Amino acid sequence: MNDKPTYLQVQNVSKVFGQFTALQGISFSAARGEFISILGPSGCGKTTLLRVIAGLERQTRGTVFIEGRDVSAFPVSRRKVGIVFQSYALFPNLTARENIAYGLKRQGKPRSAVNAHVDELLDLVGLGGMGRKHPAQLSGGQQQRVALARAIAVAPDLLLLDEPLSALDAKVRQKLRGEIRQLQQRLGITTIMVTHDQEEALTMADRILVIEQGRLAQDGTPHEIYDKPASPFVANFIGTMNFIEGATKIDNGLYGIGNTRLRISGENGSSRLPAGCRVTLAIRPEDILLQGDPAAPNRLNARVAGMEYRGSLFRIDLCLPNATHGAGTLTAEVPTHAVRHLAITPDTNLPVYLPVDRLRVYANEGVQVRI
Amino acid sequence: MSTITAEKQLKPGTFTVATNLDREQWIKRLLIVLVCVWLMVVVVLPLFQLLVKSVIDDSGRFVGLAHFITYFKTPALSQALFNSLFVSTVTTLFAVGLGFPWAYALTRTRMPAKGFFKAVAMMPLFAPTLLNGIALVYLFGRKGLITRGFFGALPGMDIHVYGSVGIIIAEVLFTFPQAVLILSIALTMTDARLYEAAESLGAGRVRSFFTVTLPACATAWPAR
Repeated sequence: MNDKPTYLQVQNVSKVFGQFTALQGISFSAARGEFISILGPSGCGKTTLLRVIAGLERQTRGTVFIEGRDVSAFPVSRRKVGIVFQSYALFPNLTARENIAYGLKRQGKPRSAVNAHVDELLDLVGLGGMGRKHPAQLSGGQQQRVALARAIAVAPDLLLLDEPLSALDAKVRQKLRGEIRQLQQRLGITTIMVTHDQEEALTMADRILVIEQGRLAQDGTPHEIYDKPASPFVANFIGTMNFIEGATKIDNGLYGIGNTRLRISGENGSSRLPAGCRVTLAIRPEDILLQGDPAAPNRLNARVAGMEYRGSLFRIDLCLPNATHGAGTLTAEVPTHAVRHLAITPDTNLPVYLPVDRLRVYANEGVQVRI
Repeated sequence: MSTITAEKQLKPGTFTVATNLDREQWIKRLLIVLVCVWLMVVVVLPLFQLLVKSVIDDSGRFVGLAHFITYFKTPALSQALFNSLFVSTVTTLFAVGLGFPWAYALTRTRMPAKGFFKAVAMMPLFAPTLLNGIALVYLFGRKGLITRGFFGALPGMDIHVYGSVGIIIAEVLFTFPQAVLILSIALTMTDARLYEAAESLGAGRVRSFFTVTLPACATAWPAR
């Protein structure tokens, strides 16, 4: 990941609007050609961060470097960025061609060169022959393509996408997702995309920054974010997570809940926490196994409380009678063929296995576990 | 996927929704018909009557375009038509020319006392129409304050208010509030992101003014 030179560096950026702190001490860097997604719930400050990077908003504290140069005081026009706005912000009085050519005009190229370039861009985004239409005559997906072509027309070094797909319907969104990613890779352009859609971030980005209330909650690859969420917030925001509250640390790698003992292996074991520390344990629904070696650790007895059919899998609510503390239910996602094979029906009693390397530990009282 | 579930959820209530829509549709149509009838009575019928009268003579015989030919052959009358067009064109130019900077200042600057300036612009709407005339006569009339140079204290200046100049000044005063209102709305409605997009594409203030601000206001022109 760090084999490529850093292109963009954001250092300790904060932004305060009157009484409201939108961003608090955000730092990260992006390598040349990297696709980074800024992910968070609405109102978490992710768009503000994008606007600070773009130069549309001036940060209260902190610095933005592009290629090692401090651009904090530069206006957007001097940052060589291409921006795709949330509602595209196409000029309604101009045709698709004129919109795309807008940024090319000041570069002083001859008209024929501009025209050829615009044709090329229209083909690139799959809008060949649509150039004469006005934005109002184009569908949402087509407008989005025009906005993308307009942004990359000026050959920016940095492409900034603000919720580029949120206004489109599911099918178009899925199609454009792949197209944008392909285009980005073909052009090798460093890209930052703001989104609140976890699936979008997971499928498109090389790296994800999860923002929670103006702070950087986690910075990692989609794999790391999903597999090793740094906090319960991240775990809950991306995918679903079972939380087992009221557990206590007994020893490194050994945790107790009621009179049940759970083993947790490796880096998940949180050797940094003192024994007796109250913790919350967590496991993804698809990591819970309903069959395994009877001698395996973390084998619990459960009863099937409810089943929800999802086509390729079942979502199964499990009741754990042995767990004395409140968190007596777990949700498991089990492939349909496994459910058929094990003949699971509501009210079945069965063993449940929580794999030692899939359980995660979070210290209570907001103490974050650094991994 | 979400649309499918939404449709499914709607199904049970479809019947009541449809009847409500029906009623709304009927009310809408009824209102449209009423408005059309009203327009017929107060606009179309009188104009039609006028048009009919223009092609018949005093004794009620059809004379074709004879009246129109006489009209254009009589210099005093055709001059009047020209005067009307001239006055209205100049008035529009002045009202928009003055109203645009005023509206721009109200909506796009951090000028202090915006409320006061907005109120000033709206004053002609609330003043009695006669007031314009009286004020103009007092100021620029034959014995007006400015024509006589403040009772001779200053050299006087006669702008010949009894004529097109006076009419234009009065008309501009009268139409200025509408110009400011319509243009302010057009200026406030413009999406701020369009300016940001223009800026990010390297457009300066002048270019974004001509490509974003003016086109947005252009939609307001017909309202003049």
